[in-house]
Amino acid sequence: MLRAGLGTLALAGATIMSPMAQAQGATGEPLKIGAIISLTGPGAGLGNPQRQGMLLAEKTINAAGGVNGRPIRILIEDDGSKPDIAKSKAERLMYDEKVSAIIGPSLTASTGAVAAITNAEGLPTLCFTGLGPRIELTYKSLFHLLPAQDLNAKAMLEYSTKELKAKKIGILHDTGYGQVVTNQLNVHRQAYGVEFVAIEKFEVGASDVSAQAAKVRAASPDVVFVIATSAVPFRNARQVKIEQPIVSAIGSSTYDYVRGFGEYADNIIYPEFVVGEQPKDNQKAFVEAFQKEYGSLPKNFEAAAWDSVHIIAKAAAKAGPKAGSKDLAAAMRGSYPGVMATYDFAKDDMTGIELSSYVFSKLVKGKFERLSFTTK
Amino acid sequence: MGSILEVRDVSHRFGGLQVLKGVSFDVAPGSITGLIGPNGAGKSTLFNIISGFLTPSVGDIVFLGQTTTDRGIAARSRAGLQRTFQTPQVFRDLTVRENLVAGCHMRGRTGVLEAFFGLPNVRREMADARRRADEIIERFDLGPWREIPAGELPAGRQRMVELARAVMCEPKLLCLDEPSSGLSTTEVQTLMETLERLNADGMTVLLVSHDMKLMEVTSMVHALCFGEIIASGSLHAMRESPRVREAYLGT
Amino acid sequence: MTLTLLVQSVLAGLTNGFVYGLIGLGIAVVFRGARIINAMQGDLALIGSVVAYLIAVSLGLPMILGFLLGVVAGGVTGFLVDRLMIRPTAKRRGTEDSFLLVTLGGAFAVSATVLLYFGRDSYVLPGIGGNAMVDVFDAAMRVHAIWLIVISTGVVLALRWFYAKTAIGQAMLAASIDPEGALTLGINVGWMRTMTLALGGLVGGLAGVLVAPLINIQYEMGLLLTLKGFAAAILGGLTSPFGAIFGGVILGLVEALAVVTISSGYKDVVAMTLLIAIMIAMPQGLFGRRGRLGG
Repeated sequence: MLRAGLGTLALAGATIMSPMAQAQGATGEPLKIGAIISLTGPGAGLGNPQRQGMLLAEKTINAAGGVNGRPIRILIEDDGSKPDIAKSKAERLMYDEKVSAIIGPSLTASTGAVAAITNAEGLPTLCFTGLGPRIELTYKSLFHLLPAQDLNAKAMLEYSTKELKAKKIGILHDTGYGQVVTNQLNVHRQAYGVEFVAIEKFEVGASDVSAQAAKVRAASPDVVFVIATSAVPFRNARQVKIEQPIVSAIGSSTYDYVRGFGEYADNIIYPEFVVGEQPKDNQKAFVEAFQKEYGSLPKNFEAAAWDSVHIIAKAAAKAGPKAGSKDLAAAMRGSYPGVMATYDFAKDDMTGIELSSYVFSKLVKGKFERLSFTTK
Repeated sequence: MGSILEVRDVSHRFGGLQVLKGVSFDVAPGSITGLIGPNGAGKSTLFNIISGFLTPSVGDIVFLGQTTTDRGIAARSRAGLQRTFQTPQVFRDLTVRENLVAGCHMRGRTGVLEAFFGLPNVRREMADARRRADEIIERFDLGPWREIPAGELPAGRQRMVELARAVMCEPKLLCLDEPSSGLSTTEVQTLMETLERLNADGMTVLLVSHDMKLMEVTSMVHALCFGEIIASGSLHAMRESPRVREAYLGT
Repeated sequence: MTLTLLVQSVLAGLTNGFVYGLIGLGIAVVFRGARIINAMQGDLALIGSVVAYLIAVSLGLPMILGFLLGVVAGGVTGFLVDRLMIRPTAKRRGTEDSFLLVTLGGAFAVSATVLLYFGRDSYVLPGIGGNAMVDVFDAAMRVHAIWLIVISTGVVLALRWFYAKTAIGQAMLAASIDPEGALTLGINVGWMRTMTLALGGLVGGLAGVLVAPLINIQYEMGLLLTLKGFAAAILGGLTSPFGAIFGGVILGLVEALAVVTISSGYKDVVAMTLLIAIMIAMPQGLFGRRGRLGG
């Protein structure tokens, strides 16, 4: 318990280390950070863990003295998974509340809406999505905290080819999230020398995909990719007697989803970043603090949110209290060793996450186990 | 025994229009009573009030000694008042036999739960109803069409089915609304014979019609004109009455 | 196309088909008895399955009790729908569209309530025989799915008997075919309608407890089922319980075979095209004219 407390302090202390610390008044005015995440709607599975992560970060930083004596205050808004609501929340946070930075949104469509506005003011925006359309590369104030789908696709292929030695892969995917990842899989297929012997899709709300799963099975793949945000394909795949290992993507690895798999939560592999049951060394302190605060284990989105707050805090400490938006953004545009991953926001994809940051977990009877495989 | 039906001082307005004015008469048990009058005299309204399709603005309907003015159509039917309609109302998709079985049996005497569990008394009731239906089908000469959907029969035969169905319930009073409309002369003849047979067996009938030939089965006639009864008596008396002839027959 | 694949797709199609048909059956019962298109039928299933879950899983009571209470809950809800929603609309001289809208509103209300109290997660209801599967030519079918098919068939036969051989059943039919005529025969038409809704609710609740182990309980389950069930019912002629099952099976099989023989992307296109073609060729549905009595 004491070790955890010290670890947390050390972590907090490290992020607000600033060579240019100026003497501040006893309680400086708070550093206001806006957050737009999806607490309701289809994106709630992402937004709620994000909320937990950032609130813990806020609490931890403030307990350690804030940013050069200034407490941080996070104002959380729900975009209901709708881009137009995200846009109006962004306007409110920027013009009414005059926040120094914005964290979020959780979903790609909302990110597009928000980034366009915040870029006009140069307000630093750290979103929980991967790189979007090309135009984002011109946004000086935008930062992505999650890898683009092509990295996820590569991670899946890495594991399948290098560890499972697969040559033939079957894909069962939904027409939303699954389609996006599958597109990237197709792009990188040749480089990994694999053949997609079956690619079967189903609509997002489908209640039964046995026929599609059976078709995948009939193609006799070595490994099956199931990419969806519901439990249905995972269950149906096993029910039609697909016995091959299943590799999935980060979007369906939250505990909520896994609970819905029931007894089929077994022999499924995820390339992700945080396995709370067996965290990497640099993740241990965060995991312990999270568990102490919420009584449950964190995963990727909680960690990303934690990182986002700390990134802002560090940059604010570095840039000083008089820093404007552009200075703050400039202070962030560099590398940052986060809990979730090691970032480098100066890189082309505005994230800088490398394959080496991935950890691979395997669901064994409903519990996550961290695999020793890495992509290095 | 008192009157089967008493119409007591019934008046009715539709908005600003006074359709019935203080109508009173009785229907004696075992009689065939007729209501005649020109169009617009208020016969249909009076009929609807008697059978429960309308509640009168003023006045009461007493059936079998009980005031039924406020009671609904279904309640009156269960009490023994059966009515037919100007256009024969049958269950078009059901066969003649099914129509008759529907006629009386399905008042929900057997409870829902008993029906679900198929208890013996449910089946017995059903069998009894079927037997009665067959008897009445014979009586009305509808045998050849027993299994034909009623909607496929010609108007005259549908009229008979409707009548047979009404009789299934063993009503105390049979109210017939223009029963001969759409019938040929021979069919009217058959209708008259059927009514006379029913009456001989003790059925009380109240009859509204334009058809003077049909009216020959009645024992008592009331003439209605502009919402008031202007004369009552035998059909022969009606024919002789100058008032009636002026109001109706003379037209 | 291997034998296994073909068999598996037929089994999947049959299973889904009976799921659609079971909901369609409820829609047919309500339409037949009350001339109302019940947009809440799928949500009646949702209520039944939620109650079964609460009893059997949350409270840990025996599964059979959860099952029965789920069915009863459906029936009670049907009764309440009539008393609280249909009757006031009828009093105000509602038309067929008004009833549809009212039940549609009810469907959204149920969905929202489930979302409020249970969130977005999906919940697993144990099936008959748990997750046991049966092997058919190396394809697999859940034991529970077989039970679903057997029980659905039983329900169709029971309804056939009910409408043809019981006084109440015939009264319900008469009341819906010709309410005024039925009234003049002394049939309490309003009460018949209430009982039709209650019966539709019972069928819906039963559908819920049978279907939930296959597709998982989730707040959106109701509307999705209603849509498919409605397609099944229309295909079958809208007034025929047997027709609804038949229509559902056709729909399910066409979907599964389309996935397996053409492409998974074209599943809905093929199924809906077929539906449209059948409706154009036979507007009464496959069993429309038989909607008088029995099947």
